[in-house]
Amino acid sequence: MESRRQRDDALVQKAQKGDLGAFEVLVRAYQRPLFGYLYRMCGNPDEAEEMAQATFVKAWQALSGFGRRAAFKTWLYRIATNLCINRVTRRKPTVELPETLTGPPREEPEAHYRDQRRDELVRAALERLPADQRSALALATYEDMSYKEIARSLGKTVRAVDSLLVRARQNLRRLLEPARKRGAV
Amino acid sequence: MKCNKTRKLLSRYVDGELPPRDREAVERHVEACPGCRRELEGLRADADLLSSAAGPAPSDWLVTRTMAEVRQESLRRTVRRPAWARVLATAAAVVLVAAGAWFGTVLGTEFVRNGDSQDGLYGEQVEPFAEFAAAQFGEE
Repeated sequence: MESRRQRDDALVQKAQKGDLGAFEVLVRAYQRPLFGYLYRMCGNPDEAEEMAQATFVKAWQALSGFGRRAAFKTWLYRIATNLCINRVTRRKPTVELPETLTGPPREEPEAHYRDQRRDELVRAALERLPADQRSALALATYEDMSYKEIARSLGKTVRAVDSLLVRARQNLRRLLEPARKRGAV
Repeated sequence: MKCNKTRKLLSRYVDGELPPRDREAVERHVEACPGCRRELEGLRADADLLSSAAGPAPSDWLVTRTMAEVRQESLRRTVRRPAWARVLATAAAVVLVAAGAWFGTVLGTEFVRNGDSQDGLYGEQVEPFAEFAAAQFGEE
């Protein structure tokens, strides 16, 4: 059975010869996870979509120079990371950290409310991590990448990725502590 | 394995990045150490919380808009000649003009030498010059 890497390599080869249909297959395959990664980085769905589009266009423009030594996936995420990291690095958090969970409104089913607040809490906590820690944690958690793949996507060493994840998780623990003490998560 | 070393490895353990020997050593230690076991459980709980947090989906238009821009970019690339093509075109034009001038000179000289008046551009141009040259310098 063909691996994802083999499928991507075959599509990239066609796209490099100008086959737009092959490139569209790659866009469709990666649009959701790439958008998800960029959303975790910037916290705004419209901005994440804009950056996802820009990432794919940059990938198309640079495709002739892609040597296929690395996987298309990590190369694509490298482009995305370079695009967004400067944007989000100096940005202040926009979402309040919901440290308390009050009871659900009477008309809201409790599970739905708790899920929504949980998502807000995660988003707010991620926003407070330094951008490089956030990107490493997002790739490990949501993209299921190995440390080697994360290193390639971020342009760092495996050791640096390990260090980023250790610090990201320590910071995350600290940020989530008040909510945990209240039994909110 | 001591607590200090174990805790440094827990992040990699959670991610499945430890070689088998280290993984087994962490597992043995965690089994026997409540403090490290709590630390590991905390890491797993945080990882589960992150994983369970759903994010929004991209709009239905992302692929359409992306491919529209990619197609435009592709068209721009086809129309715009790269720099090397422009240089080559200029060089080719220079060579053609020079070749034309050289041929013209050679053909014109032949007409003068032979004294032929031939129909054609160069012949018509050369004949009057031949008469002028004869008038100026005399026939020999």
